[in-house]
Amino acid sequence: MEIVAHFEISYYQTLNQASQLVSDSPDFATPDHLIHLYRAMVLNRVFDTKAIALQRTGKIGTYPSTRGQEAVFVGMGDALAKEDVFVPYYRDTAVLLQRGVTMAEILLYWSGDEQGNCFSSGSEDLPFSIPVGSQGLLAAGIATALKIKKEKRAVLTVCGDGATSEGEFYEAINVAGVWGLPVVFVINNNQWAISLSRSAQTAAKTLAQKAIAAGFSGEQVDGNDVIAVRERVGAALKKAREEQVPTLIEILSYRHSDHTTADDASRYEPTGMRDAEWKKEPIQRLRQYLEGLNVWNPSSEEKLQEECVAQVEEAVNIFSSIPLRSPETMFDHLYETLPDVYVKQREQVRSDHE
Amino acid sequence: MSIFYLPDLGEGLAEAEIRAWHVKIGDHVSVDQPLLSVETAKAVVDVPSPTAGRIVKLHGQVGDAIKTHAPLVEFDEEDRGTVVGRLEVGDHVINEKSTAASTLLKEAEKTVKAMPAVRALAKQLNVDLSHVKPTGREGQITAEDVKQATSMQGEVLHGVRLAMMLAMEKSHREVVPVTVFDEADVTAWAGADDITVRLIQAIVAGIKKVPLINAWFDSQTRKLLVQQEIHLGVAMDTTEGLFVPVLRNVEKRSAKELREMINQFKKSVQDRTIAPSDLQGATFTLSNIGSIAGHYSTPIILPPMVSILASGKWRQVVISKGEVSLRLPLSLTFDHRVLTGGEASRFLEALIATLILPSLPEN
Repeated sequence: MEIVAHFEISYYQTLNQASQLVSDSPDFATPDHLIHLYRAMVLNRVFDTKAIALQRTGKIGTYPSTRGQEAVFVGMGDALAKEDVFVPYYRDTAVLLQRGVTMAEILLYWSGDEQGNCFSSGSEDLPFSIPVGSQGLLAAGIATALKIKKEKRAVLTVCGDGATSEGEFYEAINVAGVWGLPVVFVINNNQWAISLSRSAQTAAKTLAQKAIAAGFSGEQVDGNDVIAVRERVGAALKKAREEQVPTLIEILSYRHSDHTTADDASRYEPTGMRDAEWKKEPIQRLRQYLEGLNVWNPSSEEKLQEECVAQVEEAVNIFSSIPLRSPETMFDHLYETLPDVYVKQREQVRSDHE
Repeated sequence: MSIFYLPDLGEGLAEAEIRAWHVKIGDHVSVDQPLLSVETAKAVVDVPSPTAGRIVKLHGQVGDAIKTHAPLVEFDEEDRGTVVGRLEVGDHVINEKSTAASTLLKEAEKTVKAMPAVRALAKQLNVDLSHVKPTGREGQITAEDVKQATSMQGEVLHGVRLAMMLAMEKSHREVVPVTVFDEADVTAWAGADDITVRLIQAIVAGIKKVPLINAWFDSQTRKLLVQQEIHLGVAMDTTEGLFVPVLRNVEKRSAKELREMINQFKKSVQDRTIAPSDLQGATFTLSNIGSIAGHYSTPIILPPMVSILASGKWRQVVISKGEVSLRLPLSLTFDHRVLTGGEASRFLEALIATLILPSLPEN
């Protein structure tokens, strides 16, 4: 017997649960930049809380909370270069906000108005895609186009732990590996695929190791550590742009919420688990670090909270002032020219609601 | 004044049940302050306030099922001010819909087949789809059917009367009823006894003889469950329709206790404070129509119960010159799917034997 191949999976963390640096602070992590990331996380949480209230009062439809996972999305959004392409799933509010999408647009989308997907950010990012597992192949397709066009841009996509059991996920990472595509696959492993726990999802020890089958490297990152997330996703995107090498990053987080507003996690989540996980929560972790650096204090915190609440309130006002669209407009965002069969249906819907 | 309508809290949920109110009439609330907890088919959730203002009306009590898009809370938005000192307010909750009605409504809705566009049209035209006659393929309600329905005159049933209609329809669909008539000679009472209490005591005696009378039957699973305790539904007539409050464990009550329970229910039915739980779980029903007019009737069984007794107006029968006998007419309906005529008759026999006694010893 001889060993023909040998693999290992690395785990990355910069700031530990006690807000101490456990590895060298990366170059980007200046106090100013960390405050910038901190603000983005707090804004994300304030927006999130408001969005749930808007769903409970019938202003928007089903909404997936990102509570406790702010570092995952803020870190990703910050790592993206302007010219990169982002392929979101549905928990990516914080990434999109950093890409220039407005909160009002995000609320519009979750209220069922397709205009919300018409981002004013001016990027080539894709709109939200709810179907689980669909994102990886879209990202691989866009990365293929970028490669053919010889553009030095990368594609970043994200899915949940549940999506890694879908065939499309394997198809996407396989083609990315064999074609050498400039794409980074992020798995936000928040331990729950709706009600299915991570341990019931797969017997694999890590989700990152799925990259090995596709012929490229995979790694784990602490999802409650925004510095590590920003650093590892940034490095992977650089490698994609410059070397046309894909990477799979499994970000370990915890879903401190129901799956969506249409779910009730108390029916399946073991009691006490969420409280235990909350001790690792990313906002408090960074705040404590910033306070240790003497660049943050209770009064700056209070001011930030007020700013975020005002900012969200303004966005809600803009969103609320946009008139409800008539039902037939659901036909208007699928085709450049509407096929005849839909022209008739559109007319029928319109006349039924006159 | 603004009305907050119950939103769809999940994805296409028809209703939500109120679990707890966190506010009361007169309270000043701020935006996003929790108003109440509700349970949907999917989750228990807190519903926050969409607005700041003073609460002027709460639609529904704990336990009530509220239909999606039905009124939930009314606010006076002019009155947003902070209030110093105690505010005199009533906290009487207005119950506009009984639980029985909404549960049955849910059942009726299951049978409605209509495309989303037709449902939207019906909503817009305020047409209740459960009352629209479908003409489309496979029983589908078409947009035309909905438009047709709006041209019909009349008032759509609601509330207690609608609950009665749905309950009666359900019984008519499921039960195979047979009614046995007889009468009890109660001359010995000398007209002084409490008829309802005597009837209840006689029913208990009858059930002891034939326990199967006091059973629940589930048509779908075909399971018959003889009830060990006797929870008696007593039909009460109101201007709005029929209420059937349930006297628990009548087999253990004294005549005095029974009378107190009846009086209490009469009052709570009259002023509509009766709790939904007091209208559920009956194992046998007594309908006393005799206080108005009518000797005999064919009372309708309310599934999952398997029998019901109606008593009629006294009848005076001349048995010989100068001698009059006082007769209490009795009509017993039993579900012939699960009970035999012999069983029903033996129950009636035991019931009458108890009823004709001059008085019952207190125990």
